[in-house]
Amino acid sequence: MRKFKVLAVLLLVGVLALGLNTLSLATTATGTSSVTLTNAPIFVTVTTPFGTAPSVTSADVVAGLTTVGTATFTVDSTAIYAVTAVTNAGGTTTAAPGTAAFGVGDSAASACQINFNAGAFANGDVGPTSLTAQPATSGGAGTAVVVGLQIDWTQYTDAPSGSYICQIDLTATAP
Amino acid sequence: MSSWMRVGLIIIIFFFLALFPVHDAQTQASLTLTVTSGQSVSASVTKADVEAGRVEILNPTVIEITANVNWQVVASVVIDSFPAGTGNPTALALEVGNNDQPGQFNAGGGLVQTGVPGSFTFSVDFRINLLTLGNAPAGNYGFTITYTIQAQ
Repeated sequence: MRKFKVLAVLLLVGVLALGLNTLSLATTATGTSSVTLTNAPIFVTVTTPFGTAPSVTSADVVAGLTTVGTATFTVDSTAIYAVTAVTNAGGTTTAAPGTAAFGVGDSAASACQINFNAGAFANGDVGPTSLTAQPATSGGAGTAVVVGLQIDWTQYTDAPSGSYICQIDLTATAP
Repeated sequence: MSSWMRVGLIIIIFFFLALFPVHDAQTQASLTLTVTSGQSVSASVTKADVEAGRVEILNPTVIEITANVNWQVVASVVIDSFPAGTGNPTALALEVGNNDQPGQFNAGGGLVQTGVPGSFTFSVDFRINLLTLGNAPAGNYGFTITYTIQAQ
């Protein structure tokens, strides 16, 4: 019986030694690095510019409006964004012939009227047209924003012949 | 010597042979890992990235390892910082490439590479999944990646 106990103890010691030795397999080494992503989340491109300038027709005179057409912008954004469009922002290119005369408070800027996606036209006097809380476009081709343009002749008290130019500034803003 | 004693001696000899020195040489893993370049990597989002839904940063970080056993390197990611107003980004936004399966990326880290004993240098690919960021306003998104080499 004594020999049996000695043998059992030796077996136990051997098993424990094996177990302890196996712990050495847990040896590891580590290292670290970092990645920083700088996100400027929004990109606007002109997909389709306004086409050839139209000529005023008699129907336009009767209606008081000339439809210029549309331009398409594409907005790519990783963030929720807003779009605003204004005429004559900066006043660099919106123009009418030098002898043109305007109603009180009116101007070439207010004569250039815009809308978004075939919505209602906004008189430039009232304020910029805007789209708010547009969804992010990550993983897609971007969202098309169609800007329509018309010239409102009722803004003029005298609109002589010549070139009438509308500048449209479209701004997409993400926080 | 009785039969019990003989059996006991055989078992004891077995254990000691198993422990010294052959067994020890096979299991004492010696592993080192060093990030030799690309410790701090940065990238900026482009229009093409937005349309693709991800930013790929390929081969920016180089790791050197030594091992005397079969090994594997795994990565784990934590997100350190992001702009206010962001839609709950997590470490899963950063995906780490698996060099054993080219083209496979694991969100939040995972297996990077396996190998046999020796000294090796390899690079790590990253991909940031913009779709998982939710609302992702302007600003910096910071991630830390920890690489661990283990015996297989």
